[in-house]
Amino acid sequence: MTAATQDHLVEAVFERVEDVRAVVEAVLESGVAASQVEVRSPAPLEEDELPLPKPKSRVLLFALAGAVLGGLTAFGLAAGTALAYPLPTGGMSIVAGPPVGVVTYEGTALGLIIMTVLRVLWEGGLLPGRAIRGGRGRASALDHHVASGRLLLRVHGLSEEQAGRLRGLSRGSAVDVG
Amino acid sequence: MTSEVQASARALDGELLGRLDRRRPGLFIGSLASGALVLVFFYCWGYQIANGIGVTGINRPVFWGFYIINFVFWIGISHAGTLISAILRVTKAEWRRPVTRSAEAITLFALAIGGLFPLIHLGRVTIFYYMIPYPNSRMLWPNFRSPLVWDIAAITTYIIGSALYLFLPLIPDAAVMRDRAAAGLKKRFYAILALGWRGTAQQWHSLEWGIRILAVAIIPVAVSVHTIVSWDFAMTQTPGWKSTIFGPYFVVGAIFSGIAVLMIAMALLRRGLALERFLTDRVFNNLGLLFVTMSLVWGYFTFAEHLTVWYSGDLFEKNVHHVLLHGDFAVPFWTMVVVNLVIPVAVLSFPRGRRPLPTALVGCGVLVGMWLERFLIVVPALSTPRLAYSIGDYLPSWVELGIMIGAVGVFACLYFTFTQLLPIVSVWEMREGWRHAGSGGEGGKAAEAVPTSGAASPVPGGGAA
Repeated sequence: MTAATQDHLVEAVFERVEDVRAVVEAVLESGVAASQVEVRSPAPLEEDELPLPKPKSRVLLFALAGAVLGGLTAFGLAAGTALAYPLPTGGMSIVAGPPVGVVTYEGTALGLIIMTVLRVLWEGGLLPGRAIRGGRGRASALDHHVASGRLLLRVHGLSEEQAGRLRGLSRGSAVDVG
Repeated sequence: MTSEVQASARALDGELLGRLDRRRPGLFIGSLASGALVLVFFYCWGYQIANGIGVTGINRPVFWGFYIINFVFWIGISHAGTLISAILRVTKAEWRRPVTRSAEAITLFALAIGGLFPLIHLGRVTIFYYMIPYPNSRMLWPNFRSPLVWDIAAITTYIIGSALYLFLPLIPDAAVMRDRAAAGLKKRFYAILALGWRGTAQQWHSLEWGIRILAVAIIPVAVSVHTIVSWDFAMTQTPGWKSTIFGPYFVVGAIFSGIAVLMIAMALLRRGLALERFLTDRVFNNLGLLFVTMSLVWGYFTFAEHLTVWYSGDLFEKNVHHVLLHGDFAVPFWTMVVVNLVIPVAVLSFPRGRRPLPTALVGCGVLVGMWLERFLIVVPALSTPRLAYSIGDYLPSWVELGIMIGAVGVFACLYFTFTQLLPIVSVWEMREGWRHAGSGGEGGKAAEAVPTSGAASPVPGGGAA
């Protein structure tokens, strides 16, 4: 089978998660890889609601890295400024712990927050020029169904025969098939 | 989910989207009215910039007047959202769902306005950047040992954090608006905000992680912000200000005034947008309980603060204490006690008092009381200094009054505009709540997320207040 015949995309809209689940199970049983299946939902689904691999996230790791980076930057700024422009104040040491601590605390939080958001956007393919692989995340003519609270099943890279079978399978319970 | 529950949830879903799509002339009129106050704000500020800080009533010894009072007041209000929303998210309180967006928007706008007041107070606002640490030709860097510089660090962190904490959960709803809008400017606006959101499993998974982390991170930031604001006072030797409990006292006051604004905003939204089935009596009841708790905690802190000052016997402290309780400031002081403690406890202790109208009215009183609290912290202490010959008075000028009233307009205008452009109730979080309710998820708590009134409730008997 050539690559040209393996590029069919089937989309189907469902009202209920149970219906999507049934179709996804059938699709996977027919030999389609889980990586070809994409489900768009109007709200987050529970982990075990669909027989698909759980998405991975490194947001926490990046958040912690951001916290460390932000904290070090803030510490460097506060302590470095105090050393570069020594101002004896109220009997405090030049690099006084509490003021440097306050600024470091805020810098740590700021680094964590910014890095968390950037990572979320990165993983979701929401940053400019950062598309999710395999055509996922691209606009669909059926996206308005998701906005109305339905679920959109998209299966990529199907052969003509697989696509036809999936369309037939979906017609039983789907609201719309594209 | 049973088909009945699902049908009800879909009906509610449609109703919520319908409410958000509908044009609302009341909000438009509100925007126009508050827009007029925005003009007052900028006229007064412009007048001050043109004529100098001498147009205010600030003078020796009262160097901090309405501007600093309003700074503390608005920063306090900003605790409405992020802190309340974050605490409710972390504790997985299901009834939070209709409230969070409204609260987070209050935070961002109040914080933006609060952050303006120190700049207004500077007088020469064009040189505000002297406070920002950057390499410059004058070879001068800010002194990080000043609490005023800590303010900049804390407020910058908080405003960025609050903006992102509002924005992140807004992305899926912006996508909903994008996909429902007809082609044109509106669709493009929502498309920019949605950043290409499609609702894939990866996007939801990462978003949930992000919101969870931000909710946890923003709580200590919010606490630190108002603690640091309190240190602007407590780190001085001024009688009436040097107090070890100012940090927690300010934080409690901030949460208290934040809830007050939230109650008012929610009551207005409920009425204005006909959101009775989403902002239910249960939500008001729960927030009312939190409100009365904060009133009692505030009362406890106020008593503890004044008792220790009274008992100390310190002459200068007692001078300030005397003018507060028995002297020139006795009327505002006792008014503050009545509207912040007596009325809230009297009204909110009863279920009937925790309905939308009473809670909103109590909220209005608390806002007045909390503004008076900040006034009573700033002015009596400065006008009653240690040296008797420098005892002075303070009377705000029309410029200060104009800026104060105008700031309310700026806030209202921003809030009305936000409400007209974006869903003030988080659509995806409501949908998630209905899904949980249908599946009996989250330990049975989920039923609380479901609107309570009428036969359309997806969970039989779910959540009657």
